[in-house]
Amino acid sequence: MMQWDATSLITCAKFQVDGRLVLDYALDAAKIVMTQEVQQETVEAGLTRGYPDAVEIKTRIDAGRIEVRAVAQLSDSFEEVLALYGLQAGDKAVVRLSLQAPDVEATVTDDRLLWIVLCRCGREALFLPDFVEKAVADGAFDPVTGQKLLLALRSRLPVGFVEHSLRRLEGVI
Amino acid sequence: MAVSVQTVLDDRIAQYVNRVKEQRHATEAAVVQELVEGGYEEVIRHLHARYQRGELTFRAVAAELGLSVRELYDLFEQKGLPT
Repeated sequence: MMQWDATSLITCAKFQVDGRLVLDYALDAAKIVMTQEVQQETVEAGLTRGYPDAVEIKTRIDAGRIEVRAVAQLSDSFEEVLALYGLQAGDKAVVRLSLQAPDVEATVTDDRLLWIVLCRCGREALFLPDFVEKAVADGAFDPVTGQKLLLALRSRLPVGFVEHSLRRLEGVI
Repeated sequence: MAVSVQTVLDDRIAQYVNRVKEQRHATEAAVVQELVEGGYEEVIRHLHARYQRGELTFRAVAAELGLSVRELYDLFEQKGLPT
């Protein structure tokens, strides 16, 4: 099971490959779990403003394909450290879930600072292109589909991230 | 939602506004609005650069701009800025 952060989830609920949402390819690879905070950011806030991606995410939550979990505060010392990093409420919830849920294998995020904090907490964090590479490695879909997914997401990701993963899927690096 | 504000401009800014106003036959308000929008654009790009360098989280940028996470995603997308 993979925890997903808000922006990665929104991106995957917006773009399609071969008439299918990238989010559904992601769900083929691993069950998705998110915090209540991420649900609020992606679904509740998105529905209020009429974003189609919010409807797509909600549909999959309602169908039980995406799980939403509440998280408890960490120790005072840990919470203090998270605050020192400048993490916001939603960021802290992502870190808490990664630390509290033994069934969460990794967290998918686009956020560089959050990625660093998760890694420093000893938890696995994946940028979206890394998730696609992992899904290909795990056999969830073939390398050609992986390349199509990366190309579909390219406009929303920093230069270099997608190209790096594409070269690895091509086997040239 | 548009908001109307009254403000006092520094002499140099006022001179610039007057010059541009005459040059373009524009209204004072239009020139000032352009300046404010340019400043806002600069703030967005500065915060985005800090986010990309890992100095701030996406949510911290949203909080700085007074936007929700979903609104910031939309704003970055409209401006062609990656997440």
